[in-house]
This record gives sequence, C-alpha cells and structure tokens, in this order.
Amino acid sequence: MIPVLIVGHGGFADGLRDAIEMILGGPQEGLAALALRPEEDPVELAGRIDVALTELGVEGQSGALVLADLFGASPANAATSLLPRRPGLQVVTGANLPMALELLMLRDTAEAPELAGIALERGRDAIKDAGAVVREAYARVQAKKQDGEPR
Amino acid sequence: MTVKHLRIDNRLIHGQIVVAWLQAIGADTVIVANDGIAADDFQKAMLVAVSPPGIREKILSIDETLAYVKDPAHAGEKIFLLVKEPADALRLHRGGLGLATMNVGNMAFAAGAKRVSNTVFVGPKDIEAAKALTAEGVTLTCQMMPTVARGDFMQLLAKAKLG
Repeated sequence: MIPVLIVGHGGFADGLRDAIEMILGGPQEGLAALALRPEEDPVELAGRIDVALTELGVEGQSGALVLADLFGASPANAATSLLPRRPGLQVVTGANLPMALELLMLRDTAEAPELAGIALERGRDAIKDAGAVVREAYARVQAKKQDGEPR
Repeated sequence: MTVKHLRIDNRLIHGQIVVAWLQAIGADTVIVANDGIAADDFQKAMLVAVSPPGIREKILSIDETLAYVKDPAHAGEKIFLLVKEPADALRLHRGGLGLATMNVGNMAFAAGAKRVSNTVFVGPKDIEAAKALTAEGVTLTCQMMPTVARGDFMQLLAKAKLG
C-alpha cells in the first residue's frame, strides 16, 4: 500500500482528510495530513513532512504520494525539496477530493508513479459544471417523455 | 439472479456508490426504485446526471422495477438496486424480487428516528419493515462500504434495544 500525505495551507489538509474519512467510512491506514502554519518557515515544514513520511513508513527509495494544495506554494515546495533524498516521492498539486478518493482505492494495486498519473487524470476529469449537467439531463428526461417513450 | 445487490440508502446515488460500490459489485446497471422520484422529472434528471459513465441507469417505480428485473430481456444484466427505505425493500420482496440478502447502507436521521449506528437511524415504520423482511426469510446486513466488515442489521437493532 502506497502511503499518502496531504499538505496544504491552514485547514486544507485536515479538511480533505476529514472528507475522505467521511466517505470511506473511517480512518484510513497510511494516510496523514499536515498543515503549513502561518508563522512557519518552509524549511521547517520540509522537516515536518520528512518526519511524517518516515512515520508513514516511507524510507529512502520507497514510493509515496504527497498531495499538495497549490503548485509553487510553500507546502508543495517543501515536499519537492525532499526529492533528492527521497527519489521515490511523487508530488501532485491541485489536490482535490475526487483524486484523493481514487488514489486511496487504487494504492494497493498500483505503484507511486502510476498513482500520480491517475491522480492527475481523475483530478482533472472530476471538475464539472454540475448545474449544466443536471439541466441537460432534465432536458433529456423531458424530451424522452414527449416522444412517448416508456420511463 | 440478475439483481446482484440491493442497498437501502436514503441518499440513493452518491459518493460511496459512485466511488466504491458499483465497482465492487461489478454492476453494469443501477436501478433506483422509488415511486415518488419516478414520477418527478427533475429528481429523475438529478439521478441520471450523477450516474457514472458506462453504467446503465434506470429510475423506476417499485412496480416498474419488479417488471424490469423479471423481464428475460434483462437477464444478462448485473443490477445494483437502490431503495430509500426498508418499506420499499419489503414491497419489492413481496412482489417477488427473490433476494435472500439485502444491505442497509445509510439511513439519515429524521425526526423521531433512533440511532442504530453512526450512519443509520430508524423510525417505527423502518423497524416494522425490517422485522417483516427477516420473518419472511430475508437476511439484512449492515455495511456502509464494500471494504468494511459486514454487520447483521437485526443484531444491531437488538443491540440498540430497538429490535
């Protein structure tokens, strides 16, 4: 099972983990969340990410996924700064709930690099104009009814 | 048997279903069996809109559901059947659905409902229907996600001093 660490600003990481646990029905093994504190130096955060990864059982070369909230921001930068020492690390930014759920369901069967690719794909696909999708479905349901098709 | 799984879940098609259950069951068809929704185009549209790609979705009344699953034309389908409450599950059973096991997923809190688990709350009508199903030979399980242990619903009811 590939460990997953969520990092972000303020309550983002804890909030995302909380949402994951609500949907998946409880605490998830090998999943941790870490917040950048307002006063914190990114170097210090990098140290805490390193410790958190070790606690998740990630050593040297071994694979792990870091989901960070924002590309180019301190939590993501702190994670990528660890790459020289932790070459098995995958860092994906723009973390969202759909990508996180997909990862957690697939991480027993896929390796970290493949999971990173799945996260990107799923994270992008899951962004939708839900209002437009429902309006279109409603139009379809009504059109079907007018055509006299059975329900 | 063309119906692979029946789930009692007041939220019908939602995150847990889309993310985990359809795949775990290997379903190619999801039927929402509910008289009120089947008669309401907008509610139907909302369910149609959130059904995952590659899954055939049907929003049917209880009677239409029975006709659908008994129709030999649908014998090859792998159906995941969703109902909102035990009373609808009982109607399906009495209408000849023929399932030996049904699963209770989520039942949200409603006024007067009593707690069975974190995500399951029941009122008198639910308890009555659950008892009737059990008396008529249906095993009721309680399982929120496919990856967690399957509980015995009647035992949980008894534990909550409701059964």
